[in-house]
Amino acid sequence: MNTPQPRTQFALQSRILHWLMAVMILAMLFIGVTMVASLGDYHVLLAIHRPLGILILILTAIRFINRICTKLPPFPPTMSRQERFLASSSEKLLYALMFAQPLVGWSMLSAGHYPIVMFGPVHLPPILPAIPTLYSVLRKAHTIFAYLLFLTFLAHLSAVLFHTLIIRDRLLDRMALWPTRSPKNKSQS
Amino acid sequence: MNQTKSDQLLQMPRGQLTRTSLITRFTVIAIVIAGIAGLFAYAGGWLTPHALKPASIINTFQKVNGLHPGFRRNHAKGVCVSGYFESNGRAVTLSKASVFSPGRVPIIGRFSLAGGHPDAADAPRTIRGMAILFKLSDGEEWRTAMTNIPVFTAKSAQVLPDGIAPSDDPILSTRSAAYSVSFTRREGELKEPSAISTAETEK
Repeated sequence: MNTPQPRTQFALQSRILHWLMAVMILAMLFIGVTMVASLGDYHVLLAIHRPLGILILILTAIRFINRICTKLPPFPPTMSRQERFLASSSEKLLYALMFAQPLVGWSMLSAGHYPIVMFGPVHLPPILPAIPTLYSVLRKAHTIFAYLLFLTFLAHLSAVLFHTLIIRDRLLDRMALWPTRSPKNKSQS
Repeated sequence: MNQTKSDQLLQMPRGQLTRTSLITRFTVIAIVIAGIAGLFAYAGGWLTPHALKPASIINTFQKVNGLHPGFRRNHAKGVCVSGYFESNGRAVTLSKASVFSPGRVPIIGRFSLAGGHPDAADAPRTIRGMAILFKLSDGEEWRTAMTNIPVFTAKSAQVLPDGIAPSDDPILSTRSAAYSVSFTRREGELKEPSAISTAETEK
């Protein structure tokens, strides 16, 4: 073979983190958008939204450290230079939003002088002084970031589906939770 | 990765997909993406613009009372207070809520006039509001708001926006009366709201 065996898949812990967080973040976006339009279920949904957001923040931090410490599988050769640039940029944007969104939520509740309830008597301390005008700015930012996160997710999903169903370069195999055959076998067949 | 190899691969024909297969695959992608986006839009209420949302109630208040930057959309005029709630402990048989156990709970509150005008006159007939935030010892807050009407004229949130009418605007007052009458008729259960308020005040 040519160079020393490159990775064909992301590290196992990276793949687990990816799918776990994908489910959590998508659920979070749906909870968020549902609760602000809901009269009856607002408080129940908010009670889930807060601790889930903090959990996502913690997982994002773990995932970011893992991202720095692990080697990535190379991009498939079917990805052009522009595509690789777009993929890397959207990854950076997703990380930025995964950090920013829970932090903005936490800051927003702090600025609005709300208790930051996790569960029962477990509360988080405020991370900003109580300033109502700051609350209104952060509240808007929380909405804008949520839409941006949802759109980035849709773009990410579209790109993966396009590669998997149209180009059929087995791009999705890199992130599959189960072991997959190496792309070399495929080029033979 | 060597550039030439990737270039070759890029120029490769896209496999042996037939035209039909290609169209099917693109359709599948479109359905998945549109489906998720559609569900998101539905969850956010964009596909049901006439369903009642918190924003529609607030928007109705703003439409009726006009925009007064820096003020609440309803109960715009008010005065804030701070103090404490002293519980004698006699309500513990009725509720396990910690505010009712004997002792003092610090509060902040606000007395207000109903309606969206920050400069409304303190007319005796105008509905009064009292909002209290109890700061419980475990960091929890109990936020409550009450008005001095014996019954609330809207039996559900669904009918609330129809009943919102300016209470103190001379130009809109005739329309306001019409609003109230048609509103309570529709409800079919209550007398005209101002009649209730008057009865209450005269007691």
